Amino acid sequence: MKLESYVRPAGLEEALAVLAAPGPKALVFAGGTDLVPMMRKMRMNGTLLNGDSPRVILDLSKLDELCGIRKAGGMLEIGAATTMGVIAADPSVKKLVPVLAAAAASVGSPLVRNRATLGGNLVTASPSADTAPALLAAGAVVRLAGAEGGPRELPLSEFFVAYRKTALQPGEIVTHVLVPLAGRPVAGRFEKVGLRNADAISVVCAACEIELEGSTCRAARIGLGAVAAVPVRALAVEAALLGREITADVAAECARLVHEHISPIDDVRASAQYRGWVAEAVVARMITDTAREAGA
Amino acid sequence: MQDIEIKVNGRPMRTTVAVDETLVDVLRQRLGVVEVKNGCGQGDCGACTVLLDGEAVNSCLTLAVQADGRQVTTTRGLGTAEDPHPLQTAFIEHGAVQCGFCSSGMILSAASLLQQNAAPTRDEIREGISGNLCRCTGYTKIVDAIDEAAKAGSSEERSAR
Repeated sequence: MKLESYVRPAGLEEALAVLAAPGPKALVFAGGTDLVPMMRKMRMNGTLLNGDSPRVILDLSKLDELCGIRKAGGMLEIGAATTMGVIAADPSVKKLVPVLAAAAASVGSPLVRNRATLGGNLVTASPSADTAPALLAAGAVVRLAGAEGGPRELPLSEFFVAYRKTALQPGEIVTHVLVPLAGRPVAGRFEKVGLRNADAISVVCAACEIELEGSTCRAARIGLGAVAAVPVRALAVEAALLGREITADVAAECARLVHEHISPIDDVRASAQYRGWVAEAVVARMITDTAREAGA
Repeated sequence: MQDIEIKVNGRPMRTTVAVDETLVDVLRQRLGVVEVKNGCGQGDCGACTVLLDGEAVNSCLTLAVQADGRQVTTTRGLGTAEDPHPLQTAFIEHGAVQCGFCSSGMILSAASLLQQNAAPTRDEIREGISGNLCRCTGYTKIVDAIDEAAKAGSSEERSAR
């Protein structure tokens, strides 16, 4: 089996129709930074990692409806085919969702960021996707569309269902990522620990947003990547912070609860034990720094 | 197979490609544009960097069909031996070229950086070339060369000619 045709649809409706067509499922393609190396392997063994044997490349990268950033309905709406470079440099993202701007700026290299898209980073569902913890911390929602029925929206925390598996149904694509604007800008931090400063796959990536009321914590959201089969929210840590006055000691005490939510593995980049240590340390530091920023 | 036309350094080139062929393979193997180097083939090394409609990308991660109807600029499009781009001159003067395999991509990433930021700091230069690996120079001379070219005002748009 090999890829035989390339379709660049003029609009979303046409894209969804191609995807709904009978026969082998089309390969949904945007930035290509993950898919092109996979396609080369497919040339050799005929199937992709997930066992699919697509014949058609469906290129969404130039679809106007999926590119760009705007405010709509109390949400910051980011098209799924918007590149990391555009997101990292966007003034509204930098001001209103700085955790996402920082995460997008940490992906790959400038060359990769000129191609890689936000939708691709999420749909690939790699546990180490850098934008995922940032969007989890920002309380983001994904909008999915298919040929049948209207679009549906899902909290990002429900989008990742298992290792490299998402809640996308056959024929569906991610069209937008939505970040609620109420209460923004919010103090936040994104941290990535890699084996080098650029072009690195994360050993641990994490993001945190904290809202204070007076000097106590009114809301906290913490997302983590590369420490479990899917990107996760550290809900126990968040709950432990509520109503507390955040000092470095409180942050360290609450950060210990992160182990309830992570199940790191040994791989070429780091051992499970190291990932556990780093996750706890990074979460403690982020909480302290974010709370300081929130109180400033 | 699909017919495509790419403008390489301003010159229209036509060919027929498989839909999963990468831009770097088509440039080198079908169009003879061999100043673009093929290194890792997976976006790690940056040797295959080209400007696609002025934007620096890994041509090994770009499908040739996606470049149909678009402009590709290689280091040859920036300047020639007779009329070099200030970045190319600075690379030569600073000894920023050793084996030369990274130079084409390195210079294009630098050109892209200087288009966006005409007066980068040394840290910004390092960030700008962070997608381009060099195994010879240790980068210091490359950063020196880009720094000097920036100071000499090489940000003028020469790639569009």
